Amino acid sequence: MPEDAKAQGLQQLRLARAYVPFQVYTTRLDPLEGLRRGTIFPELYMPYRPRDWERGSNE
Amino acid sequence: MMPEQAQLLTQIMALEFTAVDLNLYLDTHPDDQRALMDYNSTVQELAILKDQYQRRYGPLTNFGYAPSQYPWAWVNDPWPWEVSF
Amino acid sequence: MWIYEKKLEYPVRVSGPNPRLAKAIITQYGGPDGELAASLRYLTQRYSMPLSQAKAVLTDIGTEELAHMEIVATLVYNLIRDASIQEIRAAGMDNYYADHDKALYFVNASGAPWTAAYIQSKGDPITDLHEDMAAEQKARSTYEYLIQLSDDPLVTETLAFLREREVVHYQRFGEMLQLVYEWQGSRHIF
Repeated sequence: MPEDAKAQGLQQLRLARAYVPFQVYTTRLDPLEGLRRGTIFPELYMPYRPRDWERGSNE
Repeated sequence: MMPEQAQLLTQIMALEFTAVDLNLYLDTHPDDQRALMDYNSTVQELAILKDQYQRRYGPLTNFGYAPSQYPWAWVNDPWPWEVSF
Repeated sequence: MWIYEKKLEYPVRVSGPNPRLAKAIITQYGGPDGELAASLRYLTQRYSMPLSQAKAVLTDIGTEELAHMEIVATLVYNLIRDASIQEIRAAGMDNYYADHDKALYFVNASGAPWTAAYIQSKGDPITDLHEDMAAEQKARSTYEYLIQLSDDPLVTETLAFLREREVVHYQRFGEMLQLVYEWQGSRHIF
């Protein structure tokens, strides 16, 4: 993204603040699957894969 | 703990965990009607399972939240850190 | 008022005695980024929060952290319960054993006791929410290091559950931060 477009997109936001986008509720996992993963929200499920990390992969 | 008890307890854990995650979501999204409906229906399902469990195995909660059969069953083993799943 | 529920939040399982792993995991019981610190931080910050939603978020996450403290205690308890003196000595857990036998105590991985200096309560909701977001990230990192150290796949399952909760809590504190900014903006405080 060009720098000016990036700056335009951020124009609404004040400087020197941290921003976390609001979650929008889409769907939820089956209760047992949610318990297994640690969240019922698929978009918040961000598992850690130490093997990728050890291989030096970015995924 | 017998397998049936552990299985029922795991179902309770799963439903209550769903309630926890929806509860935290609703704290920052109090106007989300669909999440609220899902929370309320989870509360109902959870109450049914907890009632089943407590009739068979004794109270899950202390301090007036559940009655006990005779003798006072709250003190019974196993405690949560002693359960094998 | 708090009510105890005679169940864990997550079904903890371990493969067998593993005092070396227990010695590392105990830092999430009584260490700087552990669950006791998390719980007490949120539960004490809530009194000075200006928004009712912020009081709810801190009460609920602070309460969930108590459940996580119990999960970590259950891991440590079950990893050392059946360990022999030889295994405890070989794992380098003999120093801990000298002071506590196999009882649970609030220490970090190198044995330093828990201290209130691990947490802050600053009175400024923006500041406190930043501390809370940082705390969730620090705990997430710790769980990742513990997952790297874990040689028990069943223990790793529980560590992965606890790590994912840090991600979810970070999201809620982030949303709460926006709500506090909006509330301050509506009152023309900058």
